[in-house]
Amino acid sequence: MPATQNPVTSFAQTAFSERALGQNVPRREGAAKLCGKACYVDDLPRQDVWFGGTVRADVPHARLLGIRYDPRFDWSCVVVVTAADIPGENVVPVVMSDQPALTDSIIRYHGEPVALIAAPDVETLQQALDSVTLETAPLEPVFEIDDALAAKVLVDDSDNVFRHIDLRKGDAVAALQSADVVIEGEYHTGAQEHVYLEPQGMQAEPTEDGVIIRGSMQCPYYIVEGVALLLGLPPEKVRVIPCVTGGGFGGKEDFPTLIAGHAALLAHKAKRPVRLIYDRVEDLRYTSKRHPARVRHKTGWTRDGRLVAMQIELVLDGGAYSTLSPLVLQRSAIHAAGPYQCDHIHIAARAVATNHPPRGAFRGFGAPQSLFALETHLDYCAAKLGLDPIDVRRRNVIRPGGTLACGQNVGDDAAVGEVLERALTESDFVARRQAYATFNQRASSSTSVERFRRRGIGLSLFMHGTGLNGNAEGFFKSEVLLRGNSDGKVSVLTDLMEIGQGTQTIVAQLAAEGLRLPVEWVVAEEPDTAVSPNSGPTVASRTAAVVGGLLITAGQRFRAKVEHRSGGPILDAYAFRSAVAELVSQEPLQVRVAYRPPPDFHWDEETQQGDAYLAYTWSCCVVALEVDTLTGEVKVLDVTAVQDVGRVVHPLFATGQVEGGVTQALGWALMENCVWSEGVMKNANMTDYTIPTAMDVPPMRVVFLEHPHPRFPHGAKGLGELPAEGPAPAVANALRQALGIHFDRVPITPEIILPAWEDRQS
Amino acid sequence: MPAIVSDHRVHTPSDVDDALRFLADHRDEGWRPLAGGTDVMVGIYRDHTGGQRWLNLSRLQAPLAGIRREDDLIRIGALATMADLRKSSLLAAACPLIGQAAAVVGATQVQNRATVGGNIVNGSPAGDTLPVWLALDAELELASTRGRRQVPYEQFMTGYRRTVLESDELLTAILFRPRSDERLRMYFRKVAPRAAQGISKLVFAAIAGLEDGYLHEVRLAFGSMGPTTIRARAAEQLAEGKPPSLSLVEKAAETLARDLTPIDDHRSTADYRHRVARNLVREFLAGNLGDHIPAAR
Repeated sequence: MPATQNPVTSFAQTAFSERALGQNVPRREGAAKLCGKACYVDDLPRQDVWFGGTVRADVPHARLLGIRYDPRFDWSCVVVVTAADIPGENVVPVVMSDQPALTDSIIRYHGEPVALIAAPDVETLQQALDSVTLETAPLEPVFEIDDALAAKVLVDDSDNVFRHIDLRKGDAVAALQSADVVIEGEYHTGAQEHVYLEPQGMQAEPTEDGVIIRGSMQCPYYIVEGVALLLGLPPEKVRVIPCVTGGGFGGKEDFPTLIAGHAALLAHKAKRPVRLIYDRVEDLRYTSKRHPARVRHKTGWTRDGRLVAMQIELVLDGGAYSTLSPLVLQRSAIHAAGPYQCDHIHIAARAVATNHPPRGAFRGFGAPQSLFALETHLDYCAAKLGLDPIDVRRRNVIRPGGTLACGQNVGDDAAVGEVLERALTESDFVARRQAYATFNQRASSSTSVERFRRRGIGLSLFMHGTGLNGNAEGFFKSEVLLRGNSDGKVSVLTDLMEIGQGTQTIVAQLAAEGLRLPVEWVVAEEPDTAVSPNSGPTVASRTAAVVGGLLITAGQRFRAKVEHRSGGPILDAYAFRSAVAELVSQEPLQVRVAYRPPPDFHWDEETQQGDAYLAYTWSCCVVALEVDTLTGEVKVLDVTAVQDVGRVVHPLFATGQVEGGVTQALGWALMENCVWSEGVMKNANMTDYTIPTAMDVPPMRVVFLEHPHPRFPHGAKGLGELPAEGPAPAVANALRQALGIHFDRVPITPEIILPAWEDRQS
Repeated sequence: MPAIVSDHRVHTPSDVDDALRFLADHRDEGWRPLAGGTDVMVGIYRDHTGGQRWLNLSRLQAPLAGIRREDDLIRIGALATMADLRKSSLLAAACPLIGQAAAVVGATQVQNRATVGGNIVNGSPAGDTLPVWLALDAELELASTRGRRQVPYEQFMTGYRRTVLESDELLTAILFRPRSDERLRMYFRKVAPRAAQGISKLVFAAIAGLEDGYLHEVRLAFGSMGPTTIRARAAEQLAEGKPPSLSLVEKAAETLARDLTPIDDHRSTADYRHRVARNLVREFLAGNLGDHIPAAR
C-alpha cells in the first residue's frame, strides 16, 4: 500500500523528486485573464439572448398593493414576471428560507425585487422598467439595532431576532464578582461592500425539460437547489455551468441564488435565454454587505492582567431577511472571546432584522466584527490596568491543551504565543513603539512641519476557524472525483470556484501531491454540475484545507488503485502515466472520495459546545501608522502579518491572500463607509464609496509559520479569511499610541479622528 | 443596466468659428460643450438621462489647447488637459500650484483627457484646479459670434453648477499674471478620502506676498466649502498689510466661518471641513513665521 497517512514520508520514498505542495507552480488561471480571453457571463454570445431587469421597491417598508403598468408602453414586446408566475416555491433557500424571490405582499427593504422584465434589447428593457410603478401603503421602518430589539415594529414575523446564541463556559456572572477589576467597553463596526471586480450576473437558458444557468458565483450547487425549488424542477434538471467569476469575497456565496432564480424565471416564461446583469450602482445598492455590529464587553481581570471573566453581548444587523445571518452570527460568537484562555465566558449573540437590504457572507463571516471589539478592548483594558498590552496577551494566550469559549480543546494546535512573539520580532515592535513615543514627544514641542505628525504602532492577535461551522462539513459530505484520461493524465473534478485565489492551480497541485505526479499531468476540470461532484461551497477558507485534504487522499487512492491493478508499486512517473493510459483503455478509471468528520470530532449544536471547527489558524497583525493632525488623515506606514496556517500550499498565492485581505481590512478600518439614509446606500458608486487604491497599500511583511495539522492529510489549515480580521483592531491600537485616544468603532475616518484630537488638545 | 446613449445627439465643429456659429444658430436647444467628457460620461452613466445634445470640441485642440505667454500674461487654452498643465514648464515657473492641482485630478487616464476648461465650465465646487484660479485672480475669455469678453474667474461661478456662460458662448482661455516672485508664499492642498483618485472633501489654494515683514495680496481660496469656490475674504482682509503673528494666525483662522459655508453630505461633514480649513490656513500663514510658529496642535 503506497498511500499512507503521511504523504511526506511516502513521497520521499519515490524516485520522482519534484514536489507539488509548497511550490509556486505556474498559475493556470492567469493567461486567459491577462489576454482578455477569460469568458465572464457578459462575454457569452449574445445571439437570441434577451436582457433582464428588476422592478424594485422604492420604499423601505410597506404593504404592496399593486403593480401598475403604463398603458402607453407596448407590453407585448417584453416578458414580465411577478410572484404569481413562479411555478415552484417563492423562496430563496438558505438557512431559514424566509426570503421570497419576488415579494407579493410586504416590502421589507428599499430595492426589494417585486417584478422582473425581459426584453430583446436594453433600451426596450429600460423603457419597460421606467413604465412600471408600485402602489404601496407605507409601514414604519426600522433601521437601528435598538429599535429592532425593542420590537415595536416587526420586520420579520416574530420578534426581529433571527437567531439568538448563548455560548457559555463556566459562570461568567459569578466570576465577574470575584475579579479585581471589571472593565466595560462598547464597540461598533460598519457595513462593508465586497467590491468584487465583476458585478453580479447570471444567464438562464431553458432546455426541453429544465434550465441551464451560467454566471458569476461561488457555490454552483446552492444555485441548483435554489432554481429547482423556484421552478418546481427536480435538481437534476437544473444544470449550473459557472462562468469565469470576477471575485467574490463571500458576496457570491448566497446572493447569486437570488439573481440566478430571477434569470431562470424570466427564461422560463420567455422561453429563451435571458441575461440578468447588475451594473455597479445596482450592485452596490441592493446586494449584500458585511453585517454592521455592536459589541459590548464586560471583562473581569486580576490586578496583574489575568482574564477572570468575559461577558460579551453581540448584535448583528442582519437586514430584512435572514440569509446566512444565523451562521455568520455563530462564527461571530465563537470568535468573540478570541485566542485566549478564560474559564468564565458568556457570549450572548443576536442577529436582528432591520429594513436594510439583507446582509450576507463577507470574508471573515462575522469574526472581523467580534475580533475588532475584543482586540481593541484588550488594549483599552491594558491601558486601564496600567499594563503593557503585549504582556496582557502573553499572560492569557491559549496554550496546548487549552480550551476556547466553545469548550473546544485545541490540543497541540496552539501556536498563538509563537505567532505573537514572531510578529513582535519581525516588526521590531518594542523598539519602534519606543521610537514613536520619542517622535511624538518631540513633535509636540517642534516648530517644523513635524509638529503636525503623530505616529503609533499597534497589534492584534486573533484566529480563524477552518471550514464550515460545527457539523456543517459533515452535513455537506463534500466529494471530489479523480478520473484517468486516455493520455495517462489525471482529471480532477470538483465544483470549487476560481474567484481570483488560484483554485484551479491548487486543486491540480494538491491532487498531484497525493498522486505523486508532476502537476502538469493533472487536469483541473471546470465546474459543471452535470459532471462535477458537489465538493461543497467555495467559502469558509475550506478549499485548500478541507477539500484539499480530500484531493490528497483521492490522489493517494488513485495511485494505490493503479498500482494494485498493474501488479505492484510504480516508482517512475512516466511508467505510472503509461499504466494509467493502459488501464483507461480497458475500462473507466476513477476514484471518488467523500468527506467524513474525523472520529474524534464532536460538536453539539444544542449547547454550542465542542469542536466548533476542525482547526484554527492563528495570526498576529502589526500596523504602524502616521496621523496628520491638520486633517486627521492616516497613512499606514507598514503592516506585519504573521500566521500559522499549518502548511502553505502555494507561497505566492498565500502571500497574495494575506496582502489582499489586509488591504481590504484596512479599507474597512479607515475609509470604507456605507452611508445609509432611510435604508438606501447614499454613496452607491465607486467615486464615493472609497476603497483603497494601490497608492494606499503600505509595505507588508508576510510571514508563515507551518505546523502541519493532523486533521488534514497535508497539514494545511484555512487561510483566505484570516488576514481580514486583524488590521482593524491593530489600526485602532496604533491610533491609541499616536493620539492617546480610544477609538471604539470602524471605519475610523478623519471626520472622527480630527474632532477627537482637537477636543483632546483644548 | 448600461446607460443608453443612442438617442444622444453630437455635433462636431471643425473650427472655433464654426462652433460659435452653431451655438448662435441653436441658442436655446440645450447644446452643451463636450471636451474631455470625464465628468459628463460619469453623469450619463449615473443618471441615465437620455436625449442630450453635445457640441463635441475634439477637433478644436489645435486652436484651443496651447499654453503660452501673451505679453505679461500667461494664456492657457481651454482644451489644455490636466496632463498638459502638469507637464508645462512655463506653468511650473509661472505658478507651481497649477501643476500640483492638475496632478491630483482623478487618475492618470482622466488627467490625459480632462481639460482645464471642462473643469471650470462644469461648475462643480469640488473641481480640484478651481481654487488655484481664484487665488491667482485669473480671468476667463468667453467667446461668441457677438465677440469676446473677459470675466474674472471669481465672478464666473454664480451658484452650484451655475455660471455666467451664455448658451451661445464657449470658454476659450484662462489668463493670469505669472507669480514667480520669491517673496511670494504659495500653498495647495487637496483633502480627499484616499491617497489618490478621491473626490475632494476640501481643496485649498493660497498665495500671499511677504514684503518687509508685512503680508500683502493675501488670497485664501477654497473648493467644496460652499456652492461655489470661495475666497475667505474676511480672513484675507484681516491679514492684509499686517506682519504675520501668532495672534493674527489664530484670528484669521477663526474668521473663516464668515465666508465658508460647507455642508454635511455623504463625503464629509461641515464640522470637519471647517476644522480642516482653519488648520490649513494656520499652516499656510504660520508657515511664514519661521521660529515663531504656534505650538503644535
